[in-house]
Amino acid sequence: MLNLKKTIAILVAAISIVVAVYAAPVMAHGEKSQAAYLRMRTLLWYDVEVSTTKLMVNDELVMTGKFYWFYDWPANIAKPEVAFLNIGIPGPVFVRKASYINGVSGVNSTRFDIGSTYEFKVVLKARRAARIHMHALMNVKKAGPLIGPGRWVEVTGDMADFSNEVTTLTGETIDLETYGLQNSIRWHVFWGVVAAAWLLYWLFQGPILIPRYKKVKLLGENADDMITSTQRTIGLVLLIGTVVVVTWSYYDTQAKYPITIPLQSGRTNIPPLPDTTLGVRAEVVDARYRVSGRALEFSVNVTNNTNSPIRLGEFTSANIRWMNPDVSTAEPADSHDPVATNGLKYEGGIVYPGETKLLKVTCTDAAWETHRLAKVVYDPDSRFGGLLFFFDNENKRSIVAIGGPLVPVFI
Amino acid sequence: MGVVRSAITTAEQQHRVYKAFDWIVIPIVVLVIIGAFHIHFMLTAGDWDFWIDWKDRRWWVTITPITLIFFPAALHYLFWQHFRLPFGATLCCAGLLAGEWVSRVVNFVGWAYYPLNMVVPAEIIPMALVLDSVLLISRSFLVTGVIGSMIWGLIFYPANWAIIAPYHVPVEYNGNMMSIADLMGYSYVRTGTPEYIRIIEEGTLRTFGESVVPVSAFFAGFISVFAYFIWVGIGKALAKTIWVKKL
Ligand SMILES: [Cu+2]
Repeated sequence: MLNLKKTIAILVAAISIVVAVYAAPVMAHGEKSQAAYLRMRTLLWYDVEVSTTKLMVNDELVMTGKFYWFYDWPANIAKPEVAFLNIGIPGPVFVRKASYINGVSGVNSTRFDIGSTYEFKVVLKARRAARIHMHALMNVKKAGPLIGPGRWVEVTGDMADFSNEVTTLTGETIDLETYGLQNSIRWHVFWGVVAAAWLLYWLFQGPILIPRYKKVKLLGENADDMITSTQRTIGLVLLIGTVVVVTWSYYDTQAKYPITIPLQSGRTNIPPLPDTTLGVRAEVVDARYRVSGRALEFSVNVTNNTNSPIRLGEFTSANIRWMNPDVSTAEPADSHDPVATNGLKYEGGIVYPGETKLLKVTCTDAAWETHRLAKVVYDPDSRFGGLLFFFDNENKRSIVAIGGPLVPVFI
Repeated sequence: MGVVRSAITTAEQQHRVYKAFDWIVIPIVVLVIIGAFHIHFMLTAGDWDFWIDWKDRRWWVTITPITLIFFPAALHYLFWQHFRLPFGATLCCAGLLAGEWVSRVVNFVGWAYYPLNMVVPAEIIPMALVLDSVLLISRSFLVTGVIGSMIWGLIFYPANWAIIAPYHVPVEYNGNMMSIADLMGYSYVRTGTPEYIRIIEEGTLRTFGESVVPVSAFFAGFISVFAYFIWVGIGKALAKTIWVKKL
């Protein structure tokens, strides 16, 4: 009786282990979890828009925007020699119909130039009902995911209505949702049945463990005699049968699918966009972070080599925007879009063509704390970075990257 | 009358007890094997086995047979040496596949909503049947290791071609030629598994570039032969020390 209890206990334990192994992985996205200096000095995203935030299954959503590879790339982070434009969503809520970087298809991975700007467009088709926070995302080999701005998007409708049809180069129209599945299952069932028959044949040779163990020890050298000639014949039939079925299935498949190609692993090369500064230069002279006031204060030497007077309208870094409403306005797209609508103030006014001027800029917002950017002063590399947006009278933008050491002010 | 009498007096009773022992021990062994083998295989060949767009002609073909032969070899030793039962490979491979199907349906489809056709596990039963039947016919670990393991590595790709070939039909997509498998990998967004992470054939300037599969399969078979003997040895060590003596 005791042994039976023990057995049941072991059985329960074994089952729990197996269940635990299969337990579902947790999906999470770490938009605020990466170190602040990494978020400010790697990939700077801007102009990110989604075409809609409420859609039905089978409807399309287009995400567009630009990204700039920060010139002062952290030395400990791999450069974007191999990178892939992606989308941060919890599993395929959408399928990706197309993606473009500067108009070039983003099917393959590619390399990017540090200090350059690219624009992107991703076309997605809604697949299942869900309310998700989706992000633009760049995977960089050996560096990890660089997360762009997020938007709340809601898909309604029934996944059963979704289809994902393509036409192959051999002229067949297929639905990727189910293509080939029946064939796969049929083969797995076939071999599964053969395996089960093989195992059951031995299992039904009477009690097998204890008697056979005793017999093996008894026969010693001659234990091989336990195998009958019938059993060896069955073994031979199984061997030949398996090899014949595999060979037949291989040639039969070749005949059914005469045109096949290996998996494609090419890389593309995409030239960057033209210079976005349009001739405006900006150098940080000094920068401080006021801990109690949640404010970044910096003075920057701005040279205007364009033909029109310019004013500072926005500073952006780590997907947060500080707006100067006198020059440029923007509202948060949703509850999780960090836009400080009145966050940027500066002294110095207009910079005229040909002029060099020192501007004193203050970027204030609680986002420094809520998005854990203030932690930059506790990072192993306490330098900051971001993009300044200058506007001329016709609202034409000069976008200039700035950065440098950041000194905290605690009192 | 003796003071102590065994509860088992007749041969029929003994038969029943032995049978009960089988029915209790075998399910436990199978479950433990599925769990352990599954962890081992997911850690070694994980992504190659998960995704249709990882099942290539070079890496998948090489890595799967080599990492897969560990448990079958150890169980061959255990079940053959002590019980003269030639089903060790099929037992653990069928168990592994059953576990994989549960994981794919529950996790990949039920939880993450990937289409099932994208995450079908590799077919490994034919290799296991070959290994077991060679052991039964030859009654020798040496022959099984040399001939059985070689065939084990060689037939992996042909046995799977019937399943994966449909996904290697070419498609034109946004101006690129892709296989259907590539297209599925692109369509069904995997945030943590970008395109470049795939370790697949990239083509070389070497000759014989056309015959990637046979070269990879022979290599896999060759290494499997060595791996088989190593793991028969490990099976020997484990069987000796742990539980067979307690029977
Ligand atoms: Cu988010």
